[in-house]
Amino acid sequence: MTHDSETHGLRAHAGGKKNKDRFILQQLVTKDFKLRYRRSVLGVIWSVLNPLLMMIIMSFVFSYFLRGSNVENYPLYLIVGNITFSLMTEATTGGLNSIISAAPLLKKVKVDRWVFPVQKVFSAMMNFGFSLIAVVVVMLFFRVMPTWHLVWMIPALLLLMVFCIGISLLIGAAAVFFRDMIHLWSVAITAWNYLTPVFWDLSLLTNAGAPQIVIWVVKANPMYNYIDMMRCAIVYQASPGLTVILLAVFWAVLAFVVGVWVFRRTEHKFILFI
Amino acid sequence: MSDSTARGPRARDSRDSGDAEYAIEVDDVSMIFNIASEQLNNLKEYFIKIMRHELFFKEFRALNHVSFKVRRGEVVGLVGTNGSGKSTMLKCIAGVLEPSEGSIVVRGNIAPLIELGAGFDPELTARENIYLNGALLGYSRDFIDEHLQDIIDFAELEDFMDMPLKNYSSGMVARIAFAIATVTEPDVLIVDETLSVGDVFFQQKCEARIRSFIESGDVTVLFVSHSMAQVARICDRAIWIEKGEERMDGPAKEVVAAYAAQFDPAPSAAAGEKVVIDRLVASTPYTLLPAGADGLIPERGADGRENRFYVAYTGGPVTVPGARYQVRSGSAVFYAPLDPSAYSVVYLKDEDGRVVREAVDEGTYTIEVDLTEEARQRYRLVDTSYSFTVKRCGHYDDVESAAWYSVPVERAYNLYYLADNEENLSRPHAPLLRGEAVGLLHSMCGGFLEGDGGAEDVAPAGFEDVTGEEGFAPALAWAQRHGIVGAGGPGTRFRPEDPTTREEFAVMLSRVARARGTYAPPALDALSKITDVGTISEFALTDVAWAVANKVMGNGGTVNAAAPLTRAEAAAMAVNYQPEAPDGCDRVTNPRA
Repeated sequence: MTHDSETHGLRAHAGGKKNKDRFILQQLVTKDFKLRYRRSVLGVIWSVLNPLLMMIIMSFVFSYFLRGSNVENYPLYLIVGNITFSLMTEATTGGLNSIISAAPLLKKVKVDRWVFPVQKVFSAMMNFGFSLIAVVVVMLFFRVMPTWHLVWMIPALLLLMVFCIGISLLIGAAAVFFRDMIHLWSVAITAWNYLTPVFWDLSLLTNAGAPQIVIWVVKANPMYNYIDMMRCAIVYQASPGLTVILLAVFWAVLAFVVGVWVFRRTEHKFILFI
Repeated sequence: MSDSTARGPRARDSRDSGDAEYAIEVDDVSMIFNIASEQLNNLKEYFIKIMRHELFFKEFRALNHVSFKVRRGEVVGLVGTNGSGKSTMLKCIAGVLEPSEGSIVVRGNIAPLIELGAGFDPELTARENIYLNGALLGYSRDFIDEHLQDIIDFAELEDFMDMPLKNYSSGMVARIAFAIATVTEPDVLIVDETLSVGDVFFQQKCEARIRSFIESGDVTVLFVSHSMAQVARICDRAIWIEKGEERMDGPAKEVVAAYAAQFDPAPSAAAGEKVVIDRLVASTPYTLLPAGADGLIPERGADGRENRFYVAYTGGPVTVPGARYQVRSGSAVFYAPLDPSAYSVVYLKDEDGRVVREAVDEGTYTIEVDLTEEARQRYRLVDTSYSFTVKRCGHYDDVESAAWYSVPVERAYNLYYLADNEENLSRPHAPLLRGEAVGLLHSMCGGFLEGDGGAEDVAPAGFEDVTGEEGFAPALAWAQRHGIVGAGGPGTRFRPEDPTTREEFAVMLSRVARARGTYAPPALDALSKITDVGTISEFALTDVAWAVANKVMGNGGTVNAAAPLTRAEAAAMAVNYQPEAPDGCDRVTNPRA
């Protein structure tokens, strides 16, 4: 279908598709944000409180039976891992349902379909921004001084965002055709959470003499690499290893390419299934 | 439309060649839906079906090779019954659906007034929703900033702008939606008739705005309506889509006429009584009002009975908008259910304004149509009444409702002049034999005349060719006793198997009148308007004159006296004579006489 609004260029309409999509994305993200904490007393403070409370409980429990590990500053280690992993969880779970829940809209107006999964990733990123305040609170509490390594956060988050967009496009499209995806994904996320050293430390695995293959699997795990990059920037204050960076890039590109490819192949049929 | 990229270049070519006089180009568009034989919603079912090779899809073509072009500034109506593919076509043009085959080019911005308020979130305030909906319609932020006040002013909801939309009434939501969608003059406007917004005053405002777009001449309008009168009035041109096929494309009035013609009578020939609607008047264009305080139309009437959706008919076109008539056999009448997707409640009211379930008895009925929007809101159509008259007639399968004799024959049946027979055939063109003629008269009088005193009619006497065993014998004896048929005598024959002539039947009818005491001698000039007086035999002259004077025959200027009487003509004469013919059953003119 060709809708060439450029030929006419009414000033009423956003110049070109890109601007239109950007405005829609912005409006949808704003809407999600507004609705998230509307009518809750503490409002956006929950975005900060939530990871903080989680960290307090988990560090209280786990610091006892993870004594064998040599993690310094365990609460900070924990909160960085937690918020990074929840960023992925929130983004992909949102993306998973995004097309299905946009059904009333897709049936009525012509709008680019990819904005819905992508918007969910953006909303999750925005929420993540508030969680970072919690990290700052923890750093202040433990008197951790950041160094220039903090800038590693930027490539880490960008890569994670690309990764999440790819996954969201993929599973968002898949969920349209098979609603089982919704249930499957919650199981996958839980398993993935345990496979990723969020509250435990990789040294636990190596010290316990785990088979090499298990260690490889954990290290190849995309979330391990993104979380490791984040921890390098905030907790370890060192540059991440080359393997970690390359794997993070690899996973982001792979997820994005597959996600976009699948989405574009299937998006024309969405309307018939939602 | 990546699946049909093969056609893509053609579309681009036409655009590059500066063919910009067309605002919409629909080129050989087909829309195919795969209807799975059953819904498969999860992977397990899917794999099981694949393993068993049971995954079959039924192809459903909602649109089949439809092509048309709309010039810039043209106002085109899209007509078709429900389920014809109109909505699919609109959705394709609006870009919501992508055609399976073919291409669509739309030049300029579309304001689709089909589904208003897409993307409204009930939790957000009206102001926030304006921005969200504006974004989806493709407006820029600056534009909305600039025109926010216009939108608020048009919707007349200044005081409610910061209230969450969930607290709005459905009418208020629709107001805002309409205001946003039409804040700027679009290049292409798609208007759906069922778009009914708010109260009467706001509707007039909406109509005025749409009309101003139409009159500006720059806006290309696609107008979808079930109201043929509206299409004929507003549109220059109309396209009729039926079962996904383009049936007709031409001047609006011609298409509308052809579209209306499809509802021509095609009554089922099944046995049972027919209800003939012989007159149907479509009244003024309707306006919409919410039905009740809660916006709902009660499912049950005040009398506690369910409000039904049935309209009885067999005859002429019933042009209630949006209604599709499927005749189904009821216990006594045929019903035509109205398509509930567009119009949910139809009140059928009798002359006294009472809601009745079915138009069975004779009389004038009024259909009132109530419109339901797909969502929860319902509207009542005010001033939408369609009245029709029902006449109860008979049941013969070989009587076409359009035939001149259909009313008298059916009436003669209902009044028991004509006997039941197993085939339900009245054989209208067969001659009425003399034996049958006395039978008919006997039935017509109910076998009874003043002064009978309950006398038993025994065997007729005096005719050589009547044994007294025949079916018509009691009637003949009755007729003889009342002087309708001569007393006979030695050597006379009744000739029961001979056809009755028209004048003979007139004589018999006249004698019935005498026996009843209602006979009045005809005026001397009673036959003055009859052109074939010469055909009347001497013996029948007075009686034919009586018949003509009483409009029993000769209503067309001739009496054709010596011709054999057909059964249809006999029924007509009997019904015409029938002194207590109710109103609305006009005297019938036989084209032959």
